[in-house]
Amino acid sequence: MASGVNESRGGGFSIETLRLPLAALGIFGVLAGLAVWLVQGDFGLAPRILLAAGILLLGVYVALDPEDALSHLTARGALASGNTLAIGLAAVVILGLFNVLGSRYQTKFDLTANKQYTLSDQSVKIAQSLPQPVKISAFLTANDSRKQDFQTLLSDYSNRSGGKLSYEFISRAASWRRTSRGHHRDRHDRLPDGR
Amino acid sequence: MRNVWAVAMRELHTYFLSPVAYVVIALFLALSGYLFSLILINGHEASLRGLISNVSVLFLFIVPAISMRLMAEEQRTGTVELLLTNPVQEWEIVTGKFLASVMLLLVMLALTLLFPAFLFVFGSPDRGPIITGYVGVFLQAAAFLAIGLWASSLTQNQIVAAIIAFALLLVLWLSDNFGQVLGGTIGAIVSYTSVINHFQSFPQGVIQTNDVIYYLTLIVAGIVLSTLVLQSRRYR
Repeated sequence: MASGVNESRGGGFSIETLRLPLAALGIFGVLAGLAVWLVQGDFGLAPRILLAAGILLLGVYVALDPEDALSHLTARGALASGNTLAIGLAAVVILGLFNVLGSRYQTKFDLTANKQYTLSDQSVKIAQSLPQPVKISAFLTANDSRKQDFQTLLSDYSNRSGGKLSYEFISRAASWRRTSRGHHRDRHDRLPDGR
Repeated sequence: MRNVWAVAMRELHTYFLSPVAYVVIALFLALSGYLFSLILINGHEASLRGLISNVSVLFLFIVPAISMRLMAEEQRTGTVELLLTNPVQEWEIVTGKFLASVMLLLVMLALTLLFPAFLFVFGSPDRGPIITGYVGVFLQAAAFLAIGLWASSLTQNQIVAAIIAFALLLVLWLSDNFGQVLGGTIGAIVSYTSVINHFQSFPQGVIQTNDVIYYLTLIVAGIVLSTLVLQSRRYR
């Protein structure tokens, strides 16, 4: 038994040398599992396997030397790093919440001389009283400089209509495909929110 | 606040003692002047809309050059240790350095006021889009500086800091395309981080509160993360 310990310390194979790679692989597995879960949108087989493998490897790391793992977690540096990470994450979450609230309750200030990007009262009334959903398809060339102007106005119409009015921009090339091959739409021409 | 101001003044002096500020300002003015004349000759329109959009692209390349030395140089020369022994807190150092870079940015933008002055002398442009355009460019460049500051706090090497800053800014620049590829809720969140999407309404003459909040978020995030990196030095 004693000779076995001496062998493992004497430069040969030691299970100790595997501990750190196991921990690194475990963390990678957990992060990869979470990333796949987020990207795919459902907790399918791949994220489950990655998460399970990651947790298992981390478990093996702790089981091989529980005292060492605990001392790593309670060391001054680790506690400070943990605090730093927690403060960083808290800051990101709080700032994220501000953005969510900012997007939900946004206000627009139109400083153009003739209020070019502000809907008139009559337009707002029409948008608010749409009897049924309306979809606007705007056919523009790919680099049409007016696209942004149209988007600003159409976005305002869409917000005022309570979601009844939606819109999409279709470039000339995509519109050609759409008319020649049925209702194929180029996803790059859609807005990020899918409107 | 007095400490923040002291750090900012010291940093601003350093900028103007080295050739960095002069080279960056000269390059920026030469490029923006060239773009201004080109857009004016081709468009025949008394408007800064085209220039403002192009200047925002220029800052993508110029900001890493301004921000790269902010923290990296202090760490390379070891003066950060000296700075931390003074009765100043980490956030005051970081905010002071950020303020200095913002002041340099304001000098750069103030020098470009010659372009709208030309427009007002020879035409009658709409004032609104010019004001909002400048507000947008300032907010975007300040947000870029905050990200550059964070990148600079991560390394001792100025070149590496500039490369990290440029890479981070490029990710924010192109995130809309990536978001569209992803689609769904995740895609919408990724697209929301796009600096282009939040900038577009400013040159039009429109200020949207969510765009202002977005840029302020980047600024605060950059300062907070830089402060945390600086604080973590105490435990290394």
